[in-house]
Amino acid sequence: MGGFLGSFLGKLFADEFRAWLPWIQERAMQAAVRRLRPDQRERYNEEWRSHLNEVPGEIAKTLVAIGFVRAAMEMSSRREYDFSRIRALALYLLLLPVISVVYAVVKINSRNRYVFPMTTPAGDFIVLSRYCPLGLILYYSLRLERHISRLYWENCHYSSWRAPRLVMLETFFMEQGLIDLLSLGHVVLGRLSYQRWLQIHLSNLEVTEKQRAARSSQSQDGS
Amino acid sequence: MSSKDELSGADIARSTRLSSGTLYPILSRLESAKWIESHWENGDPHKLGRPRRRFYQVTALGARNARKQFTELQSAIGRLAWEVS
Repeated sequence: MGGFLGSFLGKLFADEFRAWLPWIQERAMQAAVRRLRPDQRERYNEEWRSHLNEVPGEIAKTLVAIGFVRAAMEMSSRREYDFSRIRALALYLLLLPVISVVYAVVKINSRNRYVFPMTTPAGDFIVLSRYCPLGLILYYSLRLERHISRLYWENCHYSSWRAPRLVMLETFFMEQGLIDLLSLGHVVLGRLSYQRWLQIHLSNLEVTEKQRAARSSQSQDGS
Repeated sequence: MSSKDELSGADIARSTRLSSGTLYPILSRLESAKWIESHWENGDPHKLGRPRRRFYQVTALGARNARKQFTELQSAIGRLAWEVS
């Protein structure tokens, strides 16, 4: 009877332990990726998941996942990351008057939240962001809202009524890429890397440039 | 790893018997020093049904420096063996 109970409980604990291992692996992986600099996270998240995928056995996988936490601690260079944030803060403070005007116009138009397009390697997204009480200085969230084309965003965004002059001003800000400055606050807060922000900003400017060229060629065709 | 081999982190961990916690900081440092370079496996993760692997390859600079370091190490060991004997 004792032997039967022992083997039953042993099997029960072993099953329980095995069931918890994937959860531990996932938590370790998330902790490891969180410890990395923002610009490293996307890469190592995918790379380490593929590494884990190649390891046989749940216990070995768990040990490897815990190893990633140790690797991440060593790899995240705080100095470089902090320097990037300081650089973003300096740029932010320098451009604060422009950012404040852009923010005010977009906020009046969007009522309590602003949206702006963001071009990423995965495609174009609408980024929805709410503001926190400090308003002009900090932003509450940055969320990739919808996978959608920029053109559609423009049509969708301007379909609702708003004051014509503000619309014109907002269109101008968007065409000049000034709306992207609003996301610079996220770099200061450490949610987005400076390098990544710069890439996004430049790629958005490129998109608007292409749109402007397409629009001018369309108007020439029309005339 | 020769200059023509392309190995994933898991492959390198298997062949070197280094733990993941030791291996990736080394790879990261070698990559920053441009001794190795890496690129993603071709294909869409959705189609592959798994995350893409990242392949590492030794650069010409890395191969040159590795050979130099190896030669220096060999001569240092040779000197040590001679002194001991």
